[in-house]
Amino acid sequence: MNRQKSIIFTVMAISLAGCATGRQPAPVEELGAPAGTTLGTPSQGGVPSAMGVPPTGEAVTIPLGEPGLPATAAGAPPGSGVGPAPANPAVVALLNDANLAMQNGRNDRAAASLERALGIEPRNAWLWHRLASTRFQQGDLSQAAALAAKSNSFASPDRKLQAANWRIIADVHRRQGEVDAARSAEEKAAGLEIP
Amino acid sequence: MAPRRARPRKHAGKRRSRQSSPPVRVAFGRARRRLVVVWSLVVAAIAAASYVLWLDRTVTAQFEGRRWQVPARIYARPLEIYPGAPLTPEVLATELEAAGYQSGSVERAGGYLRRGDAFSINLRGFRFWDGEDPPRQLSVTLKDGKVQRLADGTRNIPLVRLQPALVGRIYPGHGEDRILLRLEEVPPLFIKTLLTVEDRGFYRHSGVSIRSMLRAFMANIRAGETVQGGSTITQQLAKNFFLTPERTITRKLNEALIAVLLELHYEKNEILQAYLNEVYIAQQGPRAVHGFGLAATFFFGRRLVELKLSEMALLVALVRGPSYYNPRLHPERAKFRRDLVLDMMEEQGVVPREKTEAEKRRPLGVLEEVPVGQSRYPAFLDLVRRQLRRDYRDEDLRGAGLQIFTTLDPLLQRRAESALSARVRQLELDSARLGPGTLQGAVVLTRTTTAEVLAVVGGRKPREAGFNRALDAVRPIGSLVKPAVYLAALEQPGRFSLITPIDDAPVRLKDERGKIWAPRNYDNQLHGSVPLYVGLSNSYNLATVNLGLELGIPRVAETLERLGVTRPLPQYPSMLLGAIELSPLEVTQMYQTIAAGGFLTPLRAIREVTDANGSPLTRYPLNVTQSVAPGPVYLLGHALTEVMRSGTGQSAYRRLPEGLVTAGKTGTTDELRDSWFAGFTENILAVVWLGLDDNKPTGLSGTTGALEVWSHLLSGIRSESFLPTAPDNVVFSWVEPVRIGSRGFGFNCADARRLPFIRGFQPRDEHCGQDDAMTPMPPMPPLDRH
Repeated sequence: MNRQKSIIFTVMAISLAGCATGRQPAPVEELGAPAGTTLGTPSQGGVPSAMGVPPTGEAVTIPLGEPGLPATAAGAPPGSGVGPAPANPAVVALLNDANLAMQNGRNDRAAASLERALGIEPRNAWLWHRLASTRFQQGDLSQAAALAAKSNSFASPDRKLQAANWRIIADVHRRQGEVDAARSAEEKAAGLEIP
Repeated sequence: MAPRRARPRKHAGKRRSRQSSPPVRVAFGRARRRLVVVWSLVVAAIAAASYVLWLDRTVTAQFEGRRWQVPARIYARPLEIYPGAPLTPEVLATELEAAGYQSGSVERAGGYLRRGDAFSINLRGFRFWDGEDPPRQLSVTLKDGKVQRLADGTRNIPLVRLQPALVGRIYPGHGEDRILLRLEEVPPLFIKTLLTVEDRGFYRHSGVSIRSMLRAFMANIRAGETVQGGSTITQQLAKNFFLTPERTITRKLNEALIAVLLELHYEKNEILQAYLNEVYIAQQGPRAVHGFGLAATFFFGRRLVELKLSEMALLVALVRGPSYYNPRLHPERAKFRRDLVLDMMEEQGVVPREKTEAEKRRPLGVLEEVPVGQSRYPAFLDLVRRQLRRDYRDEDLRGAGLQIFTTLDPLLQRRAESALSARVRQLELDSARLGPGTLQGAVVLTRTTTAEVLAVVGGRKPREAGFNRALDAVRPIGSLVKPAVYLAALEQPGRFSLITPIDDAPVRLKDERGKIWAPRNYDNQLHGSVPLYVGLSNSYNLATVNLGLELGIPRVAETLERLGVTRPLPQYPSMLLGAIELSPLEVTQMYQTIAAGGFLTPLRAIREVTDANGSPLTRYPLNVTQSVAPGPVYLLGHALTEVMRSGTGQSAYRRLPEGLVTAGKTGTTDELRDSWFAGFTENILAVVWLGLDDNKPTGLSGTTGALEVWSHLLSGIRSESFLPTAPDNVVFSWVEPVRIGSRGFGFNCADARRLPFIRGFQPRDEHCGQDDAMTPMPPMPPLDRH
């Protein structure tokens, strides 16, 4: 359970950090730990308190841009291998709205903001991914899995994002008691996480 | 919005001391007469008391229990404006006008100015489903068809949404329309104007005012006509609320009585608020305009808070005679009465003389046309209503003041309407058999990425409500079914790829009634063995039937279901050629799933519903189901681009930009009765049907009819090339199928092309060039065509 949470939190934090456009992901360093990933302290800006730091596991540094400003190439960590395009500020603003709504427990509003953002960037795999994790939080498991799959349909070649989507799918299967399917999804995630 | 009960009810007129006859010895006859009189008085008193009691009960019950009957309001989608958003000055101006903004000045909220590519907008605040968007002083700079800069005052902002255009209402049975106002939303100056004219002693009297009756009497004698009424606001409310308009003494008495009862039970401000919402102001056909909130919109296209003094004075002037002073019909009368109101303001010292003189010089300022009353887009609203009926009771839809936020894109709706109307007229002119005005059609437009319905056109005269062909013309879909057959094949990569040879050879079968069924190709030719994708792109009937029979009809039917077709499907071979009847909307659902990469999302026309106060009631979220695996649907999408590049859809490129990659399918039914086209780009899907209401042949195929409408429509709107991301299990290989003789094909490397295959099932032998499967290329842009 903790692990599930930590995955969701990780995913949320990444999405917060990574407000990249189109098919190109945000500057994210090492979303690699296969299990028990935790969040480091953000370099600047506020990570919502709802994303509290899970107790165990190795820390991962997630560079956060200044809140409300697009992540730019300058913010990409050296050697991340991913050159993010400047994010659309409108999408960033909506992502901030979504984060705020989630902090306030308004998952439905968070989802609505994400859908607005998708109206602007329909092929942004990160947005689909965020929507998947929001639905997961809302307890809508089948939608969480379907949206994670939808995210994956735009995610190529971002293996980290694909892995994060497979983790959501695995979590959904596990919650539904589908042990084999959960294991298979996890294997896919692990395979994608190998650098 | 019934006002809350303010005080505990007191029952007026209940107590009467019982009278008994005095013990005086009088003449028997006289005493008896007196007794009769006394008893009559007692009976009368009891009757009167009972009547008052009954009236009291009725009035309070009605006043408190009254749920204002407010029509549901239906809004288009709000325009999102952000730097980089595609937007031209013309489109922005159109959107602003549709949202009720007036050009020329930004002095008041709801005004805008355009200077070339730069707009200043005094943006109104608006309560959306997810909260209140504040008013803003926007400046929008456009360049090269995009938003270059967006600022609120001097501060750049990332995003703003325009208040959505009101596109329709669902009326209560009695046709009353109003926009509810809370007292605090009404400008104090307006209330002063109203009370100055209608009831100066409102805050002092107890329902009726002898003084104001006398004053009105004197004023009317001085003026020689009725310029003032003696009724208080409370009496007028009593009249509007509970009584019929005849002028009798009884009614007058009842009115006064009810007024007193209302004053006993409710506070002044509650009575005033009820009055402001109840007062009858205008009539438009069956629509009765009540309350000052709607009156401001009805006459000025503005909110009450935005009005100037002269405009407020006009609304107050109308109270005395909504039809006599109707400013659209009798502007002189209306101006005379308005100026009289302004004079009264000055007399009473509410406004200084210079101000009223200035206001009197203003024109009436009434909009010539009434802003949207009846539905402007009946076919779309029909769809909205049907979706709402699943979740709401009819009386709530009609009277509860719901605010319905839809997905309608007014601009695309108009483009779709004009594309259909213009093309059917032209097709009739070009046709020898079509009588003028007979060819009908329907168009449905969706956003492929979210399955939101952007436009619905139900016939060639889109303003006329009536038979909504987009939803109710259930017709055989012809070749539009074929993608399901080919998809069912491509889902078995071990057996079928895009280049698997299939036989375009004669078929003879016994149908379900034992009759011989021997379909033919549209061109009456046999094409021998053809690559699978050519069977689809050239819409070969025999190749498709042979393929479908090999797959089995149940498998094809099951594929159709996964694409979102919910009707029961016939299980005989003719279904392989489209002997399946669907409405254009149902076809849209099917193609939506293909366009969205195999993700089934139920078509949505509504995003959110709020109650009259803007509190959210229902949200219709984006839901997706992966109903087709990404690989096969990617291959199918590629084959559908081939339809447009080299198959039955290629004539679309007479109008479409050369570089725009599109995918689609034509459909034609027996004897050319139905002409269909379903096609999409990256973000827009449009389905077009043409036919006759009596189901007679039109002489049009999918290519010569519906595709014409489609290509006109798509060439007029902005959309992006259909270039889906290849799934990880798809690789590209170089192949070039060429015809060998008349009955087969092989491969030739001269001008080979790359086709997608499911990984592990790509051809191994026919290599022409390097197989760089790791970096799949998108489908090639269309070739030259004529």
